[in-house]
Amino acid sequence: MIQCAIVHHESVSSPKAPNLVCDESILLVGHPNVGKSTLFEALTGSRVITANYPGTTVEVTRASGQRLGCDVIDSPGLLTLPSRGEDEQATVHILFQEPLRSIAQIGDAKNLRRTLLLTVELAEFEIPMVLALNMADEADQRGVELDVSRLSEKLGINVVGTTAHRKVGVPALESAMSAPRVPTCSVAYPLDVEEAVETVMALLPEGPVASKALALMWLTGDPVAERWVLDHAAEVDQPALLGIRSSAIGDGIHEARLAMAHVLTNDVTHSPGNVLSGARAKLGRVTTHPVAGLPFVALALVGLYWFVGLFGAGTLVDLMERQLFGEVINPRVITLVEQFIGFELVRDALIGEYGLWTMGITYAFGLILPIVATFFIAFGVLEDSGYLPRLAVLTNRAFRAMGLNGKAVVPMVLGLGCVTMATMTTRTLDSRRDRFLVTLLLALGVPCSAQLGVVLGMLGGTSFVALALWGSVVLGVLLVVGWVAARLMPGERSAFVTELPPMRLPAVRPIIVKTVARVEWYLREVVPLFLIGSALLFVLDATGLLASLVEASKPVVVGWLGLPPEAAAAFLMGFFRRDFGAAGLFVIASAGLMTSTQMVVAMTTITLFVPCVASVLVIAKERGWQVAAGVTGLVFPIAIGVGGVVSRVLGAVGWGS
Amino acid sequence: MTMIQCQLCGETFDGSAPIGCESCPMGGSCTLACCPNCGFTTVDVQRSGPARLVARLLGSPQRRPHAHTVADTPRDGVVEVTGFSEMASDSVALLRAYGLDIGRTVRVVQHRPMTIVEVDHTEVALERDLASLITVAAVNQSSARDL
Repeated sequence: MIQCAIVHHESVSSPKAPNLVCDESILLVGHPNVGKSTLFEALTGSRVITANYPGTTVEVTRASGQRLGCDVIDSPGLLTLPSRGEDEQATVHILFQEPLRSIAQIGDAKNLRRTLLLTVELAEFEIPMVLALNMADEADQRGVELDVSRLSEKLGINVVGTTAHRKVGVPALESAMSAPRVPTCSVAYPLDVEEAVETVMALLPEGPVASKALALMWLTGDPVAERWVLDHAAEVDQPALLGIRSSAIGDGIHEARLAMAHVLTNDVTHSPGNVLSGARAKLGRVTTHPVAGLPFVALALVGLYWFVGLFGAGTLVDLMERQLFGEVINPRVITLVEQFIGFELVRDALIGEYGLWTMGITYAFGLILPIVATFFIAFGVLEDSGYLPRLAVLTNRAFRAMGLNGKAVVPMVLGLGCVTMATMTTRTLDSRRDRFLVTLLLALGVPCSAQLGVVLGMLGGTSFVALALWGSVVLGVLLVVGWVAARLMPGERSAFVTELPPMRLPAVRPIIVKTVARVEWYLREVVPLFLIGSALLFVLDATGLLASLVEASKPVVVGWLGLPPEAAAAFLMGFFRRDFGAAGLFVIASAGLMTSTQMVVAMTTITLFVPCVASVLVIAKERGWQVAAGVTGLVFPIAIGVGGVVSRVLGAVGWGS
Repeated sequence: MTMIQCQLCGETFDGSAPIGCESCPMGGSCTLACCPNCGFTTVDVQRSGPARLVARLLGSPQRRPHAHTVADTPRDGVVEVTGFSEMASDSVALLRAYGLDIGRTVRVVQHRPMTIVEVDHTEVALERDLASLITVAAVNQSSARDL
């Protein structure tokens, strides 16, 4: 058997990586879910968040490849050319804009045909390349036998077999990357396509990529090439260019590329291997079964509730907030501040009711950190097991009711971790309409991990009915708003197609590493906002404005929502971060100042608030200020309105008072 | 579009395009389809849950000798893709990128809640609406090794 991991040594021509410093970068390109980010981490030592579902890399990440002597860029997954969706277009933008030393294509060793289709497309850019056939271990397990040396010869580039998660083949890949070569293979297009390419090349000015690649991208309708042509409208004859394009030419281009990928695959494949069988395959099947799959959904939800809601928000919060901060750290800090700081105002600013330490730091580390950390661990397990795309398959029908498709499950579930992060991943969705709808629903009713933990801790500790009521109302609002918005938004729902990666047993190390990276990211964002929120509340309190604001909001908080007056300050905090506000409500509830009804109303209302200042900024960055303002303007009245209705309905039926 | 094969004359026709419904007392609100060639009435089992359940209990009428689209292909059926019927070009491009292209052999894994097909070593989940637009031809089981 010829295994990728063995044969690749023969195909690597340069044995040693140079120690050069260059202004150019190496771009990692490949299909989604082939291990680009894992290889990026191995090549650069950088902690990129990777996961076992398509579309993880939504930001273009760059890090220094010390051993390679230049920067390495990790790009979002690219299925094929022409590019689809904002994430794929981001990758093509790099090809257009970045001075590249080489391209390292990362492919799936067991899916050579798909990999080579992208290879022949990338080869047309005439940029030096190497090809890493990753997941060589899975290819071996399935009995896939490839002649990598012959493939290297046929393509004219170094081809290396790798197993990124075990770092197998990484040194050989680094060696190959030190001597990249311009591919010598080229697609034999039909005569009509070649003539069209020649005509387009004659009409286009010199571009940022090889002229034939640009012409082919134009002919296949790639949006990045189209935008480049629009940007150079003065230099091009657009009507003439448009006249050359046709679906027949586009099909001809694709078929010729596919034929070449097919011929190459057949030429170098000794054995195509067997389809996945055994326990993993069976588990994969069961988890997507319409009936047998439901216990797995329930298991995931119960597991999440137990680990985050009971263990994180209960046991760990008790340990951190009450015992560590409440009994050990805070008494010492308070004593120190009282000893060394004479000014009462400064003392209050640090250790008062809205003190930077007693509120900001204690909330951030004692209350939120344990919840966030446990959620990220649980989410990491779900991601790396390959379960999320299967969840998308099972929930597709529910998303369909909201005018969306199952692809929305990835940002929606990620939103349970952090809505800000999830809003960025909406760029993996296919249409502008889908991206707007998911952005709206994320901002409206998907609680982030910190808030979810507080909700689970507060309502779960009260009664299961309270938790079920909160969940039903929030889900109902999401469905109704999604249904209405989907009908008001122009455009059609995108059809859902997704790849199902094999189920895998999650490894401990990557989950720990990514949890640490996520917690680090979260703390960097959350601690300053908590401190700013505390400082602002302190200033408002010290100037008497807080009392006025609380007084002014009483008709809404007390009159309409039926909550105690103390909740007004928590809702003000909720304008900065809704989990911050939820934490404040938790404290009020813990002091015995709320009934069960009030807890459900308070948690429902705060859940439907805009998540945080950061998420609004990200919505503005991703979708523009108009959308950010529109979403914010829509969400607050819905939150307050729904909260009041829930209060009245529960009051009328006499529950929880 | 749901392709149906008439059980009387063998004509293959589009079950979602109503034929003769305006003159029928059931007014087109049923899940039956009339053959445009001979008028024989066939149940469109994809549109009728109870009919599908009864059909399953009585045997396996879905295991027809000639499947016409991926949506019609029984579970574990191995078929060759022959075309994309009236499918939006971007959907075709997406399916092709996953390896679901004309001439490729695919194995149908399941249909509910979504259709899942296996092509090479990739499992692709797609909505039934899309699956019903991928026309296929049956291949013999020995070709399944090409997967």
